Amino acid sequence: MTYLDKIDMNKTYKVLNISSKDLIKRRFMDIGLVRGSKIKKVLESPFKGICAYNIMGTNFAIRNKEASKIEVEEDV
Amino acid sequence: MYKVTLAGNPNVGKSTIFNILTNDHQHTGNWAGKTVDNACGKYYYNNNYYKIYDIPGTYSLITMSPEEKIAKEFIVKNESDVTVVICNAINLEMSLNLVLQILSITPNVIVVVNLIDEARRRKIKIDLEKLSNLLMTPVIGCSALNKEGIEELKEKIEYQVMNKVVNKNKLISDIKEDTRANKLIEISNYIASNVVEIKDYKHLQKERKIDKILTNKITGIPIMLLLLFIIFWLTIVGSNYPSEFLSSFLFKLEEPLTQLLSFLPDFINSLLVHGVYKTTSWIISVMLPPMLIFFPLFTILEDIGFLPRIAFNLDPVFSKCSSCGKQSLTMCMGIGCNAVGVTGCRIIETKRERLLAILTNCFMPCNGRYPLMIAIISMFFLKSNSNLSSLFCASILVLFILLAILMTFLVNKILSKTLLKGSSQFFILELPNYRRIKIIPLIVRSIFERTLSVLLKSILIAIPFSIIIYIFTNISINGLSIVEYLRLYLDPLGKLIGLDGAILLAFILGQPANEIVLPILLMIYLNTSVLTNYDNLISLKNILLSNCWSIKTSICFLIFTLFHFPCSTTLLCIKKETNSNAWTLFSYFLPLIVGIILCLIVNFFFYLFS
Repeated sequence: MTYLDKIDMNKTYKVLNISSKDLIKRRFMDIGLVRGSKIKKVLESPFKGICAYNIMGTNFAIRNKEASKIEVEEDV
Repeated sequence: MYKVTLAGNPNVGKSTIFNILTNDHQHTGNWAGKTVDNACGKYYYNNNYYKIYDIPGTYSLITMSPEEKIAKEFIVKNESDVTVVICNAINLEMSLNLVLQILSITPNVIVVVNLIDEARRRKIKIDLEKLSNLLMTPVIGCSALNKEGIEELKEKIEYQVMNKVVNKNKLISDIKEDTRANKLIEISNYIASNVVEIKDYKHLQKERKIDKILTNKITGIPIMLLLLFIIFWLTIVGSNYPSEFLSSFLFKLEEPLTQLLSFLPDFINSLLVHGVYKTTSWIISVMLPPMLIFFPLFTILEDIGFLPRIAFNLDPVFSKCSSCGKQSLTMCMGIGCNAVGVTGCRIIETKRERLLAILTNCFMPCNGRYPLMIAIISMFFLKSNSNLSSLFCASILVLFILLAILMTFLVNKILSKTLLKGSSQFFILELPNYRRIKIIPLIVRSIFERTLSVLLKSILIAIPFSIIIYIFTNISINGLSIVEYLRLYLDPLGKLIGLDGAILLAFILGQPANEIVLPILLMIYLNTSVLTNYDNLISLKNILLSNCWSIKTSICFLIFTLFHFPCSTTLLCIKKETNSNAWTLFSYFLPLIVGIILCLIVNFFFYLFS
């Protein structure tokens, strides 16, 4: 088990738990990021601090601060 | 009359479909949140009128941001006879989530799978019939760019409003409320895996490669700057000759116009020709050529999908200044027009960050101001007329824009520590797929939607003001015109910040539109009651030099062009967006204070080294 901000590039992970505040959690839900969804890190910003993830075929940028509240495990 | 609502994720081409249906010209672009307001239009089909609403894009109806609230209210109240949900063929799964949510509140839905041509090009196969069966809803494949599928859509809309469905969709009606969100995501996943078949991953890999280069640690930022540089350089090089040609042409018409209007009393005739006509032709010849080059180039970047990458690259810096990365999108819009930039700030969700973006938007030089900057830079920093020096000129302009960006960061930081305390909030930014563009429609669109509308707006504002200025310069008390009095009055303050009274007065009188600052300034310097003709930069430079302009004056002038009060249109937009007189007043003085401080610093340095 690890956190979303620490995952390797281009490997698929499965979301285990989201411990963000309610409002943010709902926002994640909007873009299809819930417990059980598959997620892949695809890009890193040149200044760090924010990464892009592929969720349901679409790329979204999420800041590391929020990503660190999402527990994931590698999907096998 | 039937009511039709267009819904869909951000950036799936809703506005494009809306424009085709209604023959309208709403602005479109390849990034999330381009449409921030409800748009409404109408079309006629088979003896019936259809009123059509284009609502802001949303990923979901579980509300949070203002645009989502608008979207939900609209559909929930069930005001429309049919809701058309537009999906993106390239990432259908994401769109399906919203389709299912909308199906759970209204049964009258038509699903449109847009960008079907892009999907074909990427070898993504979508089984539309199967999709229709699974969703129990009519589905249409469509390519808005090629106007493919639009007729079919009109037919389907007609059929649907005539034969309304009343029963709720079985697919979702059984799901319990508390597990609905998760369940819907599962269902979209299931449907997508059943109807979408990706036969070739080459395109996807190619896009990832481009993304890697554009957001790379070493190449990312230089490429951004280089693109900015190239755009400005092309604008500078390309607009010089057309400007001269236009002005000489327009000013030649002045004489015949006076003759034509000779039946009017002398004063009115002169007011119309030397006041109104001359100001208008100034604006057209100075502004039109740069806009004709800049806007299409900028629209290309926008349509391809480059802007969200800028936001992605710069967000960490914004985050350090306690503001939102999406602010870089509104700053880019500000380079076109600050009023548009201010309105665009609605894409920023939290109020504090939105306010920061609104207040600092006018730091970005709009299209009324950079022609002014280009003129001054060419006069004072350009030695000869070679290509090399136009490159130099563009680099100086980029440097000033970097200064503007730097000040935006700094002021963001200072405001978040003082008046607008708080740290940067959470945000999600979509990085859309790159899209192919069609050059000719794009140029036509950028000319009609942007260039002409901006030009028209500035002319409309300039006309009443040119009358006021004309009166000011032509009414004299004790041998001095009102303008002269004001100039003498402002002179000490102007001198203090490295400018002079005439420059300050020109900026004040140029309040309605910054593009008339330079002509007003010349009018004051030449002490004429009418605007001078724009012939070439050398004669302009001589006028400025004979009024004690130096390198220092030109630098201070450039700084003051970047940082002074926002123009009237922008102020009106700020008032509308913040809904507060206090913030509007603050937004008036904020850039002014920044400008005065920077000019004082420049003055101080010149004082030290001379």
